[in-house]
Amino acid sequence: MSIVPPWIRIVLTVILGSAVIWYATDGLTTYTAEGQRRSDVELIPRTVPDIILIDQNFSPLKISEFKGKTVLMEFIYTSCPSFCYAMGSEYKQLQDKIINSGAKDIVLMSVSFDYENDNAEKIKAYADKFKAVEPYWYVVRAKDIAGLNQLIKTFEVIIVGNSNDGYEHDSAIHAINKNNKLYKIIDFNDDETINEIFD
Amino acid sequence: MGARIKTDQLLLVIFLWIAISLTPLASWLENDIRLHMLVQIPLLAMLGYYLFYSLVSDKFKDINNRQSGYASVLVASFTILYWMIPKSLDAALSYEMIALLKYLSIPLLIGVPLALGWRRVGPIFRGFIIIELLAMLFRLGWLYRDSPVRLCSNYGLYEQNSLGNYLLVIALTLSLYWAAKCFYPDTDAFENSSAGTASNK
Repeated sequence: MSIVPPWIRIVLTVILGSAVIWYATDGLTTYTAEGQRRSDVELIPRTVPDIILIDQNFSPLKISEFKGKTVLMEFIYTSCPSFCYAMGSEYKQLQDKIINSGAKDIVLMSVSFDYENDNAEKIKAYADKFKAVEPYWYVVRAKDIAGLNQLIKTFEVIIVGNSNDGYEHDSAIHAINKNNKLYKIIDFNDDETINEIFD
Repeated sequence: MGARIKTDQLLLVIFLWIAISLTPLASWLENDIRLHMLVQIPLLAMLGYYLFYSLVSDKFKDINNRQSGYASVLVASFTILYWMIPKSLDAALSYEMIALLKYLSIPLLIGVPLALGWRRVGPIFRGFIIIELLAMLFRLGWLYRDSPVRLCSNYGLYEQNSLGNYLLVIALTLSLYWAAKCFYPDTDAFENSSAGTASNK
């Protein structure tokens, strides 16, 4: 049936198959798209698009205003029933930590990805609920949807609706370095890595 | 190996192949991780199997050459492995080229090689592949059921956990089925009775 002996075909298949799996998983290290996104960002930090954001005090701001500071950015939607509460509490604790330790070069930022529903008042209400205070913690919405989409695309954040008319959470903190580059993506409860940033 | 092409079957296969990969039906299936993994992917693999047998006579099943099937079954195994990596599934949803790769590789590199090779490997190897498949289903089932984080960025946690339960049920059912076959080998549905291959060798 074939001029190639069976054992050669078997060996070649195993070599080729293993190579494909090895390549697809970055040497058996990365199995999820989220893991891929994180290692990609650490390998090559990405410049954050300098879009216009509106904060909880209704004033506009840009990421480039935070040059020289580390920005810890999370994505939220204010109508979130459960999970944001955990993330909000975590940010509240980080805010306390910044105030107490005098870590003036770290800024917290919660960005709403729900452009349609999260108007300026809802952003303000969210900030009040978690006692977010500037200049430590900025709760913002994008000024226009094009800017928001640009940000989401750069960060490769995938927004997925869930069965409760809400959204699945990207439960990550996006660390932006002093040159406005996204350089690390951290689980919101990964205290060890967060502490490293504070040190 | 007769060369009579079964035109009706071939047309049906191609029709279904297009329907579940290039029409809105595909987006609907891919919108839910459960339909994606439990319906679309197995269906694509089955289409490859029937594609092969619409082009090749059923008498092909009778060829009893134990040496010739290993490479084919391995090709299918590696392709299954590749599409079980969560990030492959995400990539297929994010990039059109990877989606195309999925629609082509699952029928052609899982279904066709299994049709080609499954009857031409020894019973021990076959048993090994079945056990591995079951183990994979159990492992994935547990992983998807219990993981507190989303493994596929495009799907929700609830659907993922629910998929885990389905995978466990499927793995358990298949285990019982194959266990029963160990005791009643004559009812082996996989063997063609006219072929008289593994079970009465």
